[in-house]
Amino acid sequence: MSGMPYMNSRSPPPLQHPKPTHPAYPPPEPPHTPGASTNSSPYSQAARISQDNEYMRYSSPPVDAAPRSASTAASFAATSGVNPNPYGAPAASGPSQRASVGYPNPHGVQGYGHMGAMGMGGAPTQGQDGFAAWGNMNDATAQMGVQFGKSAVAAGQDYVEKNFTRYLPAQLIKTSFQVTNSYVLRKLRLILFPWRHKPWARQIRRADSGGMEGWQPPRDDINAPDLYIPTMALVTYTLLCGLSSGLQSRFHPEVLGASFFRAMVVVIVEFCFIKLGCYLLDVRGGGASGVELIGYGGYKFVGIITTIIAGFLKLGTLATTGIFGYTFAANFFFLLRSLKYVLLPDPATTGAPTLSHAQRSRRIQFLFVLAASQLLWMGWLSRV
Amino acid sequence: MVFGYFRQVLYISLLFTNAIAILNEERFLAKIGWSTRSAQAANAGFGHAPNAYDAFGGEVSIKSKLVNLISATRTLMRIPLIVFNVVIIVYELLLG
Repeated sequence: MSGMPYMNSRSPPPLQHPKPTHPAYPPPEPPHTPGASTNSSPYSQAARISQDNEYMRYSSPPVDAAPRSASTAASFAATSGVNPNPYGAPAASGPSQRASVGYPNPHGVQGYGHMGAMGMGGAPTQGQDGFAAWGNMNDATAQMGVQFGKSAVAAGQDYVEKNFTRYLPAQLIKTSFQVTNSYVLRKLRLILFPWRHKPWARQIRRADSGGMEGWQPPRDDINAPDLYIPTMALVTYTLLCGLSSGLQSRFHPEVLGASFFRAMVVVIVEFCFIKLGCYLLDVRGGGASGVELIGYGGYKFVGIITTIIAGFLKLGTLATTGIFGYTFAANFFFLLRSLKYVLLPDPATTGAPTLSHAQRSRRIQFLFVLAASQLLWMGWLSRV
Repeated sequence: MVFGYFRQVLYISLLFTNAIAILNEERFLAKIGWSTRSAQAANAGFGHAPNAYDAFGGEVSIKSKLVNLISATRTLMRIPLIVFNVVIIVYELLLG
């Protein structure tokens, strides 16, 4: 073309809008030959249908009506698979429960997710919601998928409720994690320096009628055992074991798992020991509940961590042993004072029968042995 | 995840439970005065039912509790112990 078209004397005719010959504007498609269409490609099928029905389509994806409902259903199912119980009472508490509920779900839910994705054909854009023949079929599929997802979630919840709520006192665990920053700081200071603390009794949360309903949660009561500090201390201990073995150039990833297991074994063995002692000494209710006993048993990790850090700082063997001895003594005192109220019932608070002198002395001896055995555990665990 | 400490602890607990479960009532425990009948007789002297499970007024001794624990282990854990033992024996045989 030479020059601009306007300068030319023989200008082309002015532009006109092409008049549409038929109402739909189908985007360019591969030419469809009747009888030779393959069913595998959704595009050809959609082209056939669009040209048959003169169905206005916006863009290429054939399964237009489906993705909206199917994607919402798939996302619902997927999110319900990932986060199954925002509304389940037993599952909102413990991470172990969440993990166990996740197990029955993902296979079923992801099976549906794949089905929905294949049906969508990977369409990136939101198509216009046309009410063509596609819509009904995929609504049914989508609904089926939604039902399936719902029943899977419900089955998972039932399974958890049946099997785990008997053993895991969810309410107690939840209460044990209700801590505040100030509680954590004061409790840590208490574990490392318990000598001056005065009232060691736990406060009772009264029911409305004035009877004893339970104990105050840790945020209101410095003497209440929690699970937050023991859990954190356990994880910190594992990490410090890894760090220490790395500093000594003998790190391999199994060290983390092995040290975690060592710590868990100590906690569990001590818990069994306390339960056995409480059974033999005829302590009502097995002393404190299991959750609280694990909490009490986990406080020694604070002392162990202090000893390990002192070892890192290379303060010398004498200073490290001194720090170990001090933290052991602090833990000893702390346990004596705290568990006294567990083993030796206070007649002012509970209506427990009074003990004979022999029983009292036996319980005191048991308490003493318990607190002294911490030396064993702390010593074993401090050797990283 | 049966490795290291977990396996050792499992074996230890299984062996201890085995040891408790095979203490024969008549041949051994009666000879040393730890059988359930003599413990019941000792506790029945307080005028209550010869059953140490009920609340007694705090006179249940450690020995009677231990005796009860041993007999309970024997009764309840017999079948599960058989199963566990067989499983572990097969595991050890197959995997060394």
